[in-house]
Amino acid sequence: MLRIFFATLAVCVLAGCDPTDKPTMNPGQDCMTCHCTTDSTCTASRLPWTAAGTIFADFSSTDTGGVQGVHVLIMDALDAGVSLTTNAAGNFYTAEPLTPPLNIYIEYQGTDAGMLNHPTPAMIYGAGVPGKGVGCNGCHQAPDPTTCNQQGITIPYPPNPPGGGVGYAPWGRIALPGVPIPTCPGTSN
Amino acid sequence: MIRFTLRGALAAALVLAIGLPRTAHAEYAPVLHLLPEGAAPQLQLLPDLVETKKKRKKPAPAPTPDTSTPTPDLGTTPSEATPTPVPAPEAEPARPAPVAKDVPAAAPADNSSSSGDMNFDLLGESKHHEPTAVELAIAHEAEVRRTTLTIHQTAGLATLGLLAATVLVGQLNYMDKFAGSAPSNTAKWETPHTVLAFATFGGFAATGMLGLFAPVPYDKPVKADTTLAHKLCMGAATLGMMSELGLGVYTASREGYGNQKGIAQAHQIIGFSTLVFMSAGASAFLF
Repeated sequence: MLRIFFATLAVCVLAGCDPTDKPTMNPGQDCMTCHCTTDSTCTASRLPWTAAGTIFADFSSTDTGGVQGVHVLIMDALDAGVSLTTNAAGNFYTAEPLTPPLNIYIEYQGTDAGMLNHPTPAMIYGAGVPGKGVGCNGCHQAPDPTTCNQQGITIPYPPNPPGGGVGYAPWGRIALPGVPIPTCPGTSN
Repeated sequence: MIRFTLRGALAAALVLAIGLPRTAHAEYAPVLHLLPEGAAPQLQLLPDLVETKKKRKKPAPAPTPDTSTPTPDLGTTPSEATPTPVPAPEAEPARPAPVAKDVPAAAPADNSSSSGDMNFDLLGESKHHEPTAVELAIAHEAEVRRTTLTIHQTAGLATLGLLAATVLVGQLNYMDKFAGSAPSNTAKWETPHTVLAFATFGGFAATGMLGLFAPVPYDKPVKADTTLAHKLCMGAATLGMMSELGLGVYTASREGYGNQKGIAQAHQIIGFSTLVFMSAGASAFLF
C-alpha cells in the first residue's frame, strides 16, 4: 500500500516539473489577452496583471530570445513604484495596483533607459477597458514592412526617439537599453 | 573411583555455589548419591526435593542410597560407607549458604505448591485466575492500542520523510523564484512542492488522528518522559503544519505582488521549524 502511494506521489511530482502555465510561458505574446478580468476570454483571470511584457535582446529577436535579469521599474501617476526582474524567458509581470499613465525604465548590467511614452490601457486597448492592465504588445509589435506602420494601432512611423531609448518599437520588440533602434526599410529612418 | 567421586562432589558444589534455580537442584538429585558421605550433611535439604521428584516421576531411577542399586564404580554402597564425614578435598564444603538461600531452609513443605510441582507459591495464591469481562475488555483495548500505535509509528516516519522532501523541494522552489538578483522564476518546483505538501499534510493529519484516538485502556499519568517530549514536539509541529497550509496557499495567491517574497520567507522559516519539531518528536522515542 505504501509502495503504491509513494509511486503515485513520485509520478505526480515528476509530472508537475514542467507545467504548461508558468511564468516563462508564451514570451513575446500579449499577456493581457488572458491575464485580465474584462470578460470570459480572460482565461487567466485568477492572475490579472496590471502590467506585463517580455524584454528581448534585440528588436528582431525571436520569441525564445528573451533576456533574464533585466530590471524593470514602473512608476505610476501616484508615484507608486514597482521593481520587477525578467525571468528565464524574459517575461515580467505584476499585479500591484498601478494608476496610469506609467513611467517605465529598464536597466540591464549597468545600462538603463527610460520609455519616452507613458502608456495607459486605454491608449493600448482603446477606451473602456476596466480590468485590463498595460500590455506591451499593443504598441511594440511588428509593423507592416511596406508602410512601416504598426499593426492594429495608429502610431506614426517615425518617430524614433531621439537619442535612442525605449520608445516606439518599430520592429515589434522591447529591446535592451543601448541597442540601436532599426530604421524602416526604404526610409531614411 | 576417587576421581569419579571428586567429580560428583565438584559438580554438586558448583551447582550449589552458582545458585541455580530451585528446580536445578532437583534435576541434579539423581547424582547426589555419588557424593561421599561427608558431603551429605551439607545437602540435607535436597533429599526432600528428591522425594518430591520421585513422587512426580515414578519411572525415575531412585537416586537415594539403596543397597539394591548396583554402584560398581563406587566400589561401595552408601550403607557400607563409613559414617565419618569425609569432606571432599577439592570441593568447597563450607558453603551451605547458597543452599539455604536458594532452597529456603525455613520453608515448610506446605509452602510449596500443592500440585507437586517444583515452584514455590510465595504469595500464597495458586488458584487459577479466570479473567473478568472488564479485564478482557482492557486486554482487547490494549491490543487495539498496540496495533494503532504501530501504524501511527510507521505512518509518522513516512510523513517525516514526506515533510523532509517537501521542505527540500520548497527550498528549491524559493531559490528558483527569489534567489539572487536575477532569478529564473521557471516555477518548475512549484507543482512538486504543492503535491508533496498536501501529501505531507494528509499524512500528518492521519498520523495525528491515529495517535490521538488510540484507545487508552489504563491510566497514563502525565509525567516528564519521552512521551511528553513527543507530544510537545508534535504539538508544535501541528501548529507549524496548520500555519504552513494557510501560508502556502496565501503565498501562491500573492503571485505578482511585491510582498510575495516576504510571505514566502515566513513560509520557509516555519517549514524548517516544523521539520525540526517533527524530527525531534520522532527521535524522542529513539533515545
